[in-house]
Amino acid sequence: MKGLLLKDIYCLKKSLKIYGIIFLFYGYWCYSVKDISMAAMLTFLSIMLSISSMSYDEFYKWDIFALTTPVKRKELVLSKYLLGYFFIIVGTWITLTIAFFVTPQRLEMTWMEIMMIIGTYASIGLFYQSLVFPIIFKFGPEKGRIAMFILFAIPSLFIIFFAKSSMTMPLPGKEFLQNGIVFGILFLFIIEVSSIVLSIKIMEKKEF
Amino acid sequence: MIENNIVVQNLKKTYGDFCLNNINMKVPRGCIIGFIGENGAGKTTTIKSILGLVEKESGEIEIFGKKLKESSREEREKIGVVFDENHIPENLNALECGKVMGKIYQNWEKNLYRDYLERFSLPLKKEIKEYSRGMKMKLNIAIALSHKTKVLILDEATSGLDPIVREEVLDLFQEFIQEEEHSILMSSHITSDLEKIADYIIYIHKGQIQFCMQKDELLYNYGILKCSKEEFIKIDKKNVIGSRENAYGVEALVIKNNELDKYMIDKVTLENLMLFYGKGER
Repeated sequence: MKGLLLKDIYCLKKSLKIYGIIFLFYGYWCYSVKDISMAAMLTFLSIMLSISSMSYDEFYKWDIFALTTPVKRKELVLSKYLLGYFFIIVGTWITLTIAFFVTPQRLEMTWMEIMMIIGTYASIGLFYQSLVFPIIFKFGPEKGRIAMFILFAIPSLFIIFFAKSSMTMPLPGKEFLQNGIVFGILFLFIIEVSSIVLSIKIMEKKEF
Repeated sequence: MIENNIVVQNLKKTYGDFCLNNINMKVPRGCIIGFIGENGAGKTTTIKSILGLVEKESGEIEIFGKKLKESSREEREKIGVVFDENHIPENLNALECGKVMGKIYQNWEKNLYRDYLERFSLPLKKEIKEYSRGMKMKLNIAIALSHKTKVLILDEATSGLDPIVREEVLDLFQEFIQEEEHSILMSSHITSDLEKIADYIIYIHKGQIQFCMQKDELLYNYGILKCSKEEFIKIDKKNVIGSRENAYGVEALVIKNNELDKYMIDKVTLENLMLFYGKGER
């Protein structure tokens, strides 16, 4: 699997440089507008790097070659999930570093609040990854991107509708938040495992 | 000791209206098997079945004496494959490819790979997308040969290469086969290449193996008979594989025997064989 991950890093070298520049820009943006959320959103968007690596694989039909080597179908799947986790972790770390240099005082937030925002975006990234990856393994990266867009649009439309309506939502209490985090982590874990199992099943049956 | 590196028995695979049926073939150690057939005959499907890229409906495939589904990493390490197109992401360069392969193959031979790159004059730091077609093929061949490979499987790997590069590559394959444990299964439309280096020829037509023979025996025992239409009528058709009429008379692919000595019989080529088997009237 190390070979697969190394191949993806080499493939994405130009994209990684661009992401690095974007992160620097948003680091400056955070400092200027005193808001960490744009940089935190990049943590979520870092899953696009994994999807890009899958686009390269599809374009060059890499899987055909890879499966003639000792690489197993399961490893092709697991390497993509590991790549996704790696990018989300790196994105999270970079955002935390930005927050450290900008300082919580300038952001007018506590470290707990900063980590909640970053953690939320990272979790959303993991959640979308678990939904979109099986679609990509089954139907290809282009349909995966469309699925991603639809899955992003649905809650966005819901939020816009809710904001425009006169409905109000009660703010969650502390106990709700604490239990919510635990249940959220558990839910995310179950979704991730299910997604991996489904993707492996799809890949085992695929013909090239 | 196993005699055959690859054994295919009663392989069947159906795609819509095409059926690969009852495919039986062996790739013995120390031999080059030429695998010929027209476009869509089933060569690539057979090769993909051997490699596990497509699921067979029935039949057995053994690699190094083990059933395909039971083959371990050890067996997969010994197989080198070159397709007609490059499948390695082309924003990598040759050095990066080597590092990736070094992590994929436990038996990766870094120095041998570098030797091949030097032998083929392949630039190390240029992205593969800037390589010519011939250079991409040479890179794939370098990779295929650089992990203690015992079996080379080539699916039209020399198509699109100029004669000079093809000659270089064929020499390499002949070097590879000097080791008695090694085998090559080579599908190709460039039948002249197979006439140069193959030991056995397997011909597939519409999903079925038509023949599997030693190349020298094939080229010696078969011939192209040329005669008039009236003469052709008198010939015993049991020795005629296929025939074609033209303005001058009849050309027929025949199995040579004493009865046909009085007729003009030209040497056969693998290309003729394919034409007469595929298009000739029986």
